[in-house]
Amino acid sequence: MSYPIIICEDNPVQLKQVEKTITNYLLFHEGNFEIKLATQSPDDVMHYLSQNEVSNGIFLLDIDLNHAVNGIELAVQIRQSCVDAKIIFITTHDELMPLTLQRKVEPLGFIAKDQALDVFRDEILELLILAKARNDKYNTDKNKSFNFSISNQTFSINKDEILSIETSTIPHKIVLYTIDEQHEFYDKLSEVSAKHPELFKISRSCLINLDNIETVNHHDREITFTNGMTRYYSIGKSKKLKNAMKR
Amino acid sequence: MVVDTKIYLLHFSLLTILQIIVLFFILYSVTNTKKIILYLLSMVPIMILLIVSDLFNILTICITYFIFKRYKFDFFVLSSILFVQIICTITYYFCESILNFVEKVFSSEITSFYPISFWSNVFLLVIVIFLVKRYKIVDRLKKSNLISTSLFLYFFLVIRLTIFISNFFDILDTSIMVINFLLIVQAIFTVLAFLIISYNRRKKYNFQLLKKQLDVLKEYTKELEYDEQVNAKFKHDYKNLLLSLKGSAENDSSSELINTVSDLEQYSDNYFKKIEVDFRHCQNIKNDYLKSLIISKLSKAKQKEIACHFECEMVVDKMPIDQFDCVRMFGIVLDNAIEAAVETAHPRIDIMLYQDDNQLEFWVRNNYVANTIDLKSLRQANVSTKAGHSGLGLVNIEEISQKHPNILKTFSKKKDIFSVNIKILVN
Repeated sequence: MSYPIIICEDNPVQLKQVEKTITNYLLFHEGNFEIKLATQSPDDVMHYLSQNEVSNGIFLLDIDLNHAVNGIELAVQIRQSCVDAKIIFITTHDELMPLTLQRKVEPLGFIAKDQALDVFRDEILELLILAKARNDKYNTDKNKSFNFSISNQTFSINKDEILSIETSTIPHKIVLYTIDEQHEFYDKLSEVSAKHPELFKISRSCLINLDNIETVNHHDREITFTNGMTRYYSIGKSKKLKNAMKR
Repeated sequence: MVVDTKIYLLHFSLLTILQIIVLFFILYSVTNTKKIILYLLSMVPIMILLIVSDLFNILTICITYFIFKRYKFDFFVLSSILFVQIICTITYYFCESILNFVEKVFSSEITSFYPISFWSNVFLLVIVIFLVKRYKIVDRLKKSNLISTSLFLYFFLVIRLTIFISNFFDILDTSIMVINFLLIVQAIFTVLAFLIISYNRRKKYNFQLLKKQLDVLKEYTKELEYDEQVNAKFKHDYKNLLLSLKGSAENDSSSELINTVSDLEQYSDNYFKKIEVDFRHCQNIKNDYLKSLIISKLSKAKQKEIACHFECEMVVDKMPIDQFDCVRMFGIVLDNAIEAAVETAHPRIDIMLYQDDNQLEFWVRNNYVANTIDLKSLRQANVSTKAGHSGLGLVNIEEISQKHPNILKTFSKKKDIFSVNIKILVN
């Protein structure tokens, strides 16, 4: 499958350079990517997006576009219309705000303009390959993600890494534990359970991922997960749990 | 019941002496022989008065207080006297009511009523003295203030009034259980009132303390910010001067001057290379307390030579929760980050503050030495990562977020990066 590439860079020389780098690469790796649009104006990008459906798109954007809309704002707009977009910033900005950008548009990476040409080229290709790898993985794992949202942000967690999903002491607040993360969001455990029937209910307040169980101590009704976290299951669940684990 | 006046008087005097002993036991540390003699002398006429009426008890308390007080309002002495009075009155009526009860049940009179009553009083008071020692009641009494003393006074008056009224209507013997019950209710009420009042006082005190600390911090960071601006300006000017000096040295092609200038450049570069912290974005924080917190933590990180990156692109002015809770919580997160990062070879902390219409978001990312932070133990509130740690403070974060359901937290640790993200949603 070839992934669409869209480039937006106000400097025509640099735009050519980026384009050339990618076309040269494509000479030997045909079919991986396809340059759909290379433009100096962010308006063109938005226009193109309104006319065409772009899925798994890769966007190379200059931050400083000499335009009413800068690269970051453009990225925010792109993110709104293409949730799965891979965004790469090309920039000379020394005042970069990686965390804020991460928060707003989750870019795949940054490429600094002011460096040797071959390094610049290598970095572009490296990020393109990363984008492809992510897209490939995303497409095979599509139904393996657990999504939740907080106000206007959506978060996606790999289901394989989930240990448990639990209620908290605050009504409607749910805590999700993964192997090395802990998230809080608002939902009802019953609804989560209905949406993800593969999660096993060990008690009224706790759903778990059976795949990440390390050991179960049926005597104490204690479940230990791969990272050492422990949870207890309700008395009534013993038989069900044993059956579920056999499968 | 036949009352032998002589026995009754003896019994009465012995009880008063007991009471005096208990009082001495408590006031032992703040008294001297002169006071004790004065007190004992004054007790003789008072005891006579007491035989006439219980109401002279009030007089006893006043006289005792004026003899022992060390300064104008000595809450310790007053509450100790009241405490002893309450305890002795309770034990006295307790023994009395038990014996009365026994008499009623066996419907026969106890022949040696007074000796039994006296010895059980002694027994109870010994237990009281033991408890006073065991629970360091004296130390607690020393902390008495207006509130606890007035509660003691209130309880004492209630007891006295109850006894007086029941004596007056001559129902002390018949309805002793009802009176006991009333007194227990009163006692519970008094203790509850005391607990609630002292809890509120402590809360208020803590709040004022926090506010004071933050005000001091505000002053300090104002200076710090100013210094930082002066520094930045100086650095800028200095570099420009050095550059032009270098230019003119090269024009003059005086090798000695060129060498000297480049030496100077090297020297000052070494100095400037020291970790620089970016304070620019602090301008966007419009809440003084939050701004001071960030600046002071940034400069703390700078002192510890931690590479620190701070970004705050949006203007932060609204606080969706109480600003002090917010500042406290962010402070804890930053302290943790600094403590964890400083142990690594190349300490680094990235901080982001972000606000839009929906939320205030605070994100801190730091590196750490693997295995020092364990998410599992973070979840079990009370555990901190290592002994002697100033307390990971996550308990406090949890406590604050319990108070505000609109706080959502995310913790993650990946490779050597630990990250805490706190979103405070606008309701």
